[in-house]
Amino acid sequence: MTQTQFLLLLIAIIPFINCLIIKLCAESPKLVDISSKLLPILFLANLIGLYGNLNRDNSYLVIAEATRGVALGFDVDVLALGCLFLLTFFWIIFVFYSQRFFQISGAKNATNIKSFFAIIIAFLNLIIISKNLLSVLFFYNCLIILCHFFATKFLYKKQNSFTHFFTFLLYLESILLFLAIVATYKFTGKIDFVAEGIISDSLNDVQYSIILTLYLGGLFMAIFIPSYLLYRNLINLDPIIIYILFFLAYGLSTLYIFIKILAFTFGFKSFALMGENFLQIIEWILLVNILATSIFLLFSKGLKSSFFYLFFQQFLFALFSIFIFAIYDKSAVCLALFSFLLSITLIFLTTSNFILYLSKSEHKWLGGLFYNLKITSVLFIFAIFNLIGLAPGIGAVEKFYLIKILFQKELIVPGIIFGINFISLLLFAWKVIYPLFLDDPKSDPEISAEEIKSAGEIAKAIDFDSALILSALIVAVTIFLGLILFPLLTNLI
Amino acid sequence: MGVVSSIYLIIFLPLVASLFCQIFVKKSLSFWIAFISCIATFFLALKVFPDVLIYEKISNDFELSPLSIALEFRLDLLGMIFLLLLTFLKIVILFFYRTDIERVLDDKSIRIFYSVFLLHLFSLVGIFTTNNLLNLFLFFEIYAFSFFATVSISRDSELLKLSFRYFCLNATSSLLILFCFFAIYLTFGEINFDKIAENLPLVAKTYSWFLASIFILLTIAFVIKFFPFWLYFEKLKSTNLIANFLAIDALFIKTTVGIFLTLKFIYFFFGNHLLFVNFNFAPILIFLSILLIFYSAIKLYQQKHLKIISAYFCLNNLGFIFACIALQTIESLQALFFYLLNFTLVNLLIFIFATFLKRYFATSSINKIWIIRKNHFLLILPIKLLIFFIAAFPMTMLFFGNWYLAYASFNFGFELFLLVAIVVSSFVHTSLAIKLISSFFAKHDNDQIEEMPLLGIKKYQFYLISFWFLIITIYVAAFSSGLINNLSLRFASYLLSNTI
Repeated sequence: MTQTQFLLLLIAIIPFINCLIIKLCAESPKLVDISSKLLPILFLANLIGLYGNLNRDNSYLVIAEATRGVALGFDVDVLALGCLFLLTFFWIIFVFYSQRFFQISGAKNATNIKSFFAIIIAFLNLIIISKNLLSVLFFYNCLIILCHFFATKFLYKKQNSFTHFFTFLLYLESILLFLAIVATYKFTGKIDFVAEGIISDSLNDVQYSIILTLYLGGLFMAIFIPSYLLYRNLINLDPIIIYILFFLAYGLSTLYIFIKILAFTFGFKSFALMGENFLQIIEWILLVNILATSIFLLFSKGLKSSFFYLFFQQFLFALFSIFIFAIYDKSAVCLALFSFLLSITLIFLTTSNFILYLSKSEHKWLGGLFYNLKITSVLFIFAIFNLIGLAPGIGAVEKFYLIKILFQKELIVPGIIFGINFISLLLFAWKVIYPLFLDDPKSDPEISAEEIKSAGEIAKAIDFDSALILSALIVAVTIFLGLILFPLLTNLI
Repeated sequence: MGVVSSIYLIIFLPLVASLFCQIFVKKSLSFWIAFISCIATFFLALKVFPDVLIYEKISNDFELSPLSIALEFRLDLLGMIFLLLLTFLKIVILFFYRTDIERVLDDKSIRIFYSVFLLHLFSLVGIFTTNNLLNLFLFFEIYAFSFFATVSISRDSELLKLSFRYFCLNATSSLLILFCFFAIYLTFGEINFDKIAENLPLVAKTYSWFLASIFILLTIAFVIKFFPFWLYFEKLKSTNLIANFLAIDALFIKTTVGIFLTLKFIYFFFGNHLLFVNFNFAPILIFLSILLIFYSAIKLYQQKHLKIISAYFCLNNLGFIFACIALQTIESLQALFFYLLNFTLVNLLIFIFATFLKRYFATSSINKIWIIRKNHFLLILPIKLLIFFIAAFPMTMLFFGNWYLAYASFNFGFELFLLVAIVVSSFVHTSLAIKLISSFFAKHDNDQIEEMPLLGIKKYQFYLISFWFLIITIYVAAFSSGLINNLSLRFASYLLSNTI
């Protein structure tokens, strides 16, 4: 076993050690807390070691081989390494944030949610380091089963009906993904990820279309059939649930798999030739979906449901950006992914702070929240404007690249999609940011001095709490750094 | 011990052991005789297996008519795989029913039961190793006799009525088979499989319609004799020991024998040319298999009872197996191999688990699996571990079955409909896996759990052994997927290379 293989094995194992410690040492929370903080750092150290060893020796690790070319195994490339660093970042941020969050909120299922998060991280990690399509399918299926388990065990009954239906759609997706992989194997004889792709130019248009349709259906059918819009009265999930269940387990995994397939199965060169024809169909599907989600976002009531619809809208937009970049400018593909992931994470952290405050204080509405939660509000505004592309951050760079392509190539429907996203986000920003500044609660004569004092204490506990606000600040700084360091992301592919 | 003598031992050991079961009066001894002879048969078959892999077929023909009929055999890769599978199933079943048999039957019946059990095994070994039509017919009859002998132990009048219905059907099918074999003998002047197979291409064109008629009659006879699912569905939920035992026989043993005979007659008797070129049965077979898959998938989606679910899983697998036969490619036959493994191992585990639930907790509902929670966690763990196999996770048997079948079906023809069948079937499988997960982790009051019976270790030790025996085998097969895939390739190549 080479040094790189050994490091890769460690990287695969460490998140599972974390899961085991959480499960086995539930009685001693201190030990769990310490290990939860230490292990991501150890993981990061290994990752740095792996980065140093990359391309030096063989990193290809096979776990089980069924027949020639059909195996379960791990491998790492620059894209995978970049995503692993990002995953570690989210892991560390979430661990520090959630520990304090659960302390203040006194949530009943805190340990279960933490252990579920740890398992999700473990499987996401395995998806990222998968060496071929079969391994991706295996770990993705595990992730889906875990999501269902999560929905069954931790959510309330009324939330279950939606999450059950969603996981059913995910299962249907995984069957299509399976067929896509079989078709790839049938037409090319390979399922390993190879630089420049394995789908050769010898494939005819029909075969190419079949494979691409199956992959798109196999990864995104659950959002192309907008089932989440049908459960309007039920969607009141906590942002932390949305973050783990939809953002990490579904959003991050599918978008990463999609990019990996584009890069190492189709190859951007071949995709740029064929994808343009396909864009004419996919752009209409995305247009309808983004329009519908935008309407629901604008008419949503309450922060929780707003965050839910915002996530889906931005997920669809990220997919749209990746599709456009993959065809016209492959270097910006990772930019779209990282921008989406970082922006939604910041929105999640700030929204969670708001919801935590509202659940603890007497006030149950957004009015004047800025005066109590100044730092959180500023970060929230920054996150929203970053999504729009108006704040100095990674979002602005992504939108710049996108506008450049839209103008250069004179793409009309993608231009409309961009416009809808921009306008709906502006309106949403007005809808949620305006009430924050409405009036200072201190000036309201109906509110007693005691209420103001207790609200202020809660606000202080949240807004000046090192763990809660630092994690959000770090994400905001990272978004800002994206403005300067984006060339690093463009070199990932 | 040489290969030939080992094969003779495999054939005659169960028969001799069956006699011993009758001689010894002590009831526990009968079980151990049956158990040891099953284990010995299995390991002897394993010992011969490498030789069969090398030579593909080992036969012994004395070239003398009377001796030939009595002692000739032909053990090939096809027969070997089925022999290993069914002997393994027999061992699991033997363990599983041990507690019930000792509790329900008296001493005399126990001896009869084990004796007939071994006779049943003898007939199965005979069916897999014989090389002539007359012997085959003889073993069919011994097989049917042992089946009815087991029924006779039961005192359930309903079951006896059911068996009488099956007896009538079996008699009809035996007559049909006898008629067909006789017609074949008159045409070819031979009853030896190999020799008929050698002569068949010479007369195939002249007698094509005659052979097609024989094929249709034999198909009807085999369907009645080996796939009588409809007879046992109504009795599946029964808690009667013999009814359960017969249900396992009908669902798993009979059907596996039926699959073996289908393959044997298609590949070593009628031949590919006659069935798939001269008379193109492939579209009809694919259409029928798709019907079977869709029917079973719809039924599965509605079902809550694990026993019925297992039965429909069997039907579903059977549909795929027929589709694999119709496709006639290396990949489709590899898929057949995996569906067969899934059929005999995974479905059997679900079925025996359901039988256990029904017996001790008066339910086999998928929503009530949690009721075992109060008892030992090792009892429920095998089913939890089986979820990956039900949901067809990568590297499982069902996954490889679907993988190879999908590979074979990616052609622009009517095979494409099989892809739809795979999607529908996989969806139903995963939905059932989800139901199982929901059941395991459903929230229940402690009072509800307290109400459930607590079984002593003695009550469930043999069930536990059989569950774990099966799940370990299933996992070993999954972990040695490289080996199993190679074997499936050998199996498929052997069938296709021997196609007439």
